[in-house]
Order: sequence, then structure tokens, then C-alpha cells
Amino acid sequence: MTILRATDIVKYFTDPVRFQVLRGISLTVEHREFVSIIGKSGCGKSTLLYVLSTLDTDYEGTLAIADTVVTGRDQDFLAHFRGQHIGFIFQFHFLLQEFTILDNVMLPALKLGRESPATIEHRAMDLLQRMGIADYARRPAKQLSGGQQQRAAIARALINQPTLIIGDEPTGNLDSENTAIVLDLLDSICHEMGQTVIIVTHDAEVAARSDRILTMADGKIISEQTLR
Amino acid sequence: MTSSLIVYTRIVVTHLRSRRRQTILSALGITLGIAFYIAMVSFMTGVNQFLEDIMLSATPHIRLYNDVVLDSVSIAQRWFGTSAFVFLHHPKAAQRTRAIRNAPEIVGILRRQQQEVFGVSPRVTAQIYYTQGITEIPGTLVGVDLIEENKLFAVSSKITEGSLRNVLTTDDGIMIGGGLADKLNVHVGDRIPITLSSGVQRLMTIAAVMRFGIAQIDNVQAYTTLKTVQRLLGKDQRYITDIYIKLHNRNDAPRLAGLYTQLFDCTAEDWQTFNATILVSFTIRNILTYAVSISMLTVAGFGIYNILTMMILEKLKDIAILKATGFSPRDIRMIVLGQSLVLGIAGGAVGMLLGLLMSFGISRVPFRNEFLPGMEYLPVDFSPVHYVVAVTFALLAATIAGIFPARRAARIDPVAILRG
Repeated sequence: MTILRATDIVKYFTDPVRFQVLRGISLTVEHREFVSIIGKSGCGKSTLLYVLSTLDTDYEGTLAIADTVVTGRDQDFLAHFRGQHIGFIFQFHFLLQEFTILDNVMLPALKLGRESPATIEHRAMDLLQRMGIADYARRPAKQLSGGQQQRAAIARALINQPTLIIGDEPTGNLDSENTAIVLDLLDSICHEMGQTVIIVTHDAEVAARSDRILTMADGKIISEQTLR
Repeated sequence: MTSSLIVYTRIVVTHLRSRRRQTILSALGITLGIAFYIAMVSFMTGVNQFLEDIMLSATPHIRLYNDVVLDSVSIAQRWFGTSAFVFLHHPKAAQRTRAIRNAPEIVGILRRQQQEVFGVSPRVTAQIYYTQGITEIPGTLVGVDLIEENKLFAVSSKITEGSLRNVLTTDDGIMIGGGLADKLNVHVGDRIPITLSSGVQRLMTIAAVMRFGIAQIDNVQAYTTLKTVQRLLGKDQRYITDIYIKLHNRNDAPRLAGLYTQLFDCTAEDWQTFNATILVSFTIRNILTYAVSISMLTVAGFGIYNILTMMILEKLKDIAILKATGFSPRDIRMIVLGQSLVLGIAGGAVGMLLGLLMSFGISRVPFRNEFLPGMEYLPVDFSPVHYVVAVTFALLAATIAGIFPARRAARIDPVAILRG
């Protein structure tokens, strides 16, 4: 089953000068696949990721996720769509610092409003348990270490049982011990929980844990390597 | 929708609580604005009402009299009708008689309208000179039914020397205005000669001194019985020049005045008409109060605007995260507006309390003035209307102050922020 289908994605930066970042990228991602995109900085991999995540809408070509064409839809639709289908993991953990870990994890689900707050809290606690930080659930995010915050961010990405998890250098800001923990977690959510994951990384070791590696250069995918 | 509200509330509360000092300071702006607004308006309205009450304490709601009329249609014109052109040069105004025709009957009819009419007082006025040595001071002698007049205008409470009974029992006794008594240097028991415009002279006895707090009465008028004035003028008992009417509800005056004019063949004037200038001054004072108060609330609104704008700049990252995790631009707008409204409501509620306290404080400030009898403390109006208006203003100011930051927050591009 195809989760994501991007066709001829072209994007320009206009500031400071007009510059083509993405030069016609097409790719498909299958259900339960763990895909990593690698390449030198400036090759356009992060730009592509933000296009695929529906946050960046300024591109040419078409993008369909979960059989829905999202190209050209308005912001309100996309926000709801993201809540339903996409979980984010960023490089700099990006939790809401004044909220507790539990609130951070619960907010996207409360916003989506599919289930009762009690159900959501229950699942959030389950996820935090799995990430090994259930003891910190009631602490404000700012009191936790970077590695702990990133694990909370993974729990948040999973709370709505999204179709697709998108990670922008999810281990880029972590030491080797936390990198290992986060990678194990990504591995397990992909292969045990059946989530589809796309990450961008410049770390070859991280990419080696994925099912398929796409290598980018100058706004194009120049090679594709299937590992599993 | 309800789940959205819960989420909004959670975010609003957490954000406001995490910067308690800024929150309190910006809500304080609204608080002070509302408090000063309430105190000022309550005080101003209190003063207006007090002055209006004083003014109305001595003026009737409707006054009936015979006005000077200029006949625009000549007798000749009436005779020939439209079949002839009649030219009449310089017609003169003619007042056939100052007395109201059938006055006793009109008084009788009015006294039976008890549902609308509170009281009716017939009067005869005469222009006179008070003579003291070689000085002559012009004034008005008013013949009234003292009992009825007392019922309408609480005359006995305005007496500072002598008594109402004294006026009724003294031969040719008059009740003289305080200012006039000072000028003439007379006291109860003194006798004073008066001269009518017809030349008739008579010696009157001061039986009481009254002070209404209104210069037009205190410095000019003296009251006596109807009969005394009628006799001085050489008229019979049917001679009545004015009929003063007080109503149960003074706002009925314009309507009833119109009715009486048609009914009684005389001029009926309502209090709004003959006090028009005073009423205009009330209106202007109200406009001033509102202008000052609205400027204060505008300043408070800018306080909220500033704090929200700062908060948004500080929270760019949070807004980007919320947008990435399923919050739409509309959600972001609602959250920022919600923060603004919470500030407005909280600030407004405290402001109302503070305003009430301040109003109470003002109403305890002693203030005595010989020209304003009956005032002991500054007058304050505690009507709830001011509080309702204040809260409406607070919410309006908060909403307007929130709209622009809210729209700005909703337009933030998450990609630029998340990519760093």
C-alpha cells in the first residue's frame, strides 16, 4: 500500500536570488517503510521533507498522502490533515517549554478531538512508558534533558496514530548514547507498531538503520539503495 | 468544538501563568481604565442628577400660561377669505389678558387626572419694586396656593427663617427669597413697602425667608397667598396667570404639554423646553466624561496590544510547533484572542470592584456649599448601568487590541522557524 506519492516536485527559493532547490523529485513511500534521505547540506533534503510534511505549500508538482491529494489545499484543511496523518520529530526537540511532558504529548490529540481526554491521557502515558520517561510526565518540559525531550517528542508524534512520521535530523542534536536510544525507538515504532517513517539525516550510521536510503544532490535524488 | 475550547483554554491559561508579571501589568491597565471610568461617570452622573433635582425642585414639569401671540391673520382677511388680497402693515402683538381663561375649571380638570398628574398649583404673578430707603429693587411677587405649592415643591423645607404657617396667618405676609432678604437686609417681622407697576403701593410683612439654591428665585421672588396678589392687582378670584403642574413621571411632560395646549386654549410648556440650555450643558458634560474614559480605555487597550505582540514574538517557536501538530491558523487566532479576552475580563472584573470602592470613597467626601442646600457629601450615582457599559468597553478594548496580534500570529510561517 502506497502511503505517500510525490510527483515532479519543483521548488524555488526567491530570497536572496531565484534559485531552484528541488529539480523535479518523484518518490513513493510504502506502508511500514522506514526511509531515510541523506545528502550534503544544501542539497535540498530538508526542503523536500517540509514539502512532504505539507507545512511548505510553495512548490510545483503534486503530493498525495494516504490517497488524498494535499497540493493546493488551504491552511485550515492542511492543519487538520497534519493532526490526523502526520507526526513530527524535529532536530531541536521543540516541545512547548512551559507545558508538562504529558500536556505536550496530549495536545495534538486534544486538538484533533477524536477521543475523550481520559482515553488520550491513557494512551499518552502508555507511550511515555514505552519511551521510558513516564516518571517525568508531570514535569514541565524545560526541566528535562535533550535526550528525554526528544523521546517525549517521539511520543507526541505517535499520539494520533499517524499515517506517517516525519523526522528532520531527529538525532542531530543528541549525544551517541541518546542517539542509540532514539534510533532503537524509531526502529521499533516502524517495525513493531507498523508506522511509516521518513527521516532526513546526514549521519550514515543513522541511515544504515532504515529500510531504504535516498541520496540527494543538487535538488535531485541521485541514488536509491534498498537495505531490507 | 468543545474539545477545541478545552485545548484553547489550556494553552491560554498556561501561557498567561508562565509570565505572571506581564499578565498582571497588562490586566492592570484595563483595571485602572475601568475603575476610573466607573468612578468618573458615577460622580458626573451623580452631580448631574443632583443639579437636575435642584432645578426640578422649583420648576414645574408643565407650565400653563397665556403667551404673547402675534395674530398673523387679520380680521379683514378672515372676513374676505381667499377671495381678496389683504395687506396689513406692521401688525402688533396683542395680549388680551395675562389671565388664563377658565383657570379654576382647568385646575379642577387637571386635579382629577390623578393617574398622570401629581399636583396642580395655580399662581398669579405681579412685577413689583421693593423699596428700601431710596433704592428700588425690581422683583416678582407670586401669589400661590401655599398648601398646594408646598406639596409640589416642598417649600417648607426651603425655609430658613420663619415658617409656612407664619405666612398664612400674617396679614399681607410674604415669604421672601434669601438673596433678596440679604440685599434688603430684612428679617422675619420686618415690614417692607412694595410698588406695583400700576403705581399701587403697599406695606408687606416678612413672614419667612426661603432659599431654593436657585438665583432666579432667591434673588427675585417673594411668595404670598393667591388672594393677596389678586387684591393688589384689583382682580377677582378667577384671575390666574400661571398653572404649575407636577407629574408622577416627568418624562410624560412633552406629550401632555402638547395635549393641554390643544385642550385648554393656552400655552403649555414642558420642563425640557424651558430648561433646554441646562439640559444641553448636562449632555456636553456627559460627552466630556465619555471622551476622557474612552481615551483611558484606549490606552489600556494598547497595553494589551503590546503585551500580546511581545508574547507572540517570544512564542514564535511554540506557534510553529502548534501549527505543525495540527493547529490551524484559525486555532492560533482564537488562542491569542482568548488571551486578550482573559486579560480584558479579569482586568474588567477587578476594575469594577475598584471602581465601586472609588465611587464609595467619593460619596464620603464632605462637600457643603451655601448655594447648594441639601448637599452634604459629593453626589454619586451608583446605577448598575455604568458597570455594564464599563464591562462592554473592557471587552471591546480587549477584542480590538487582540485582533491584530492574533492575525499576525496566525500568519506565521512555521517552516522558516522550525528550520531555524
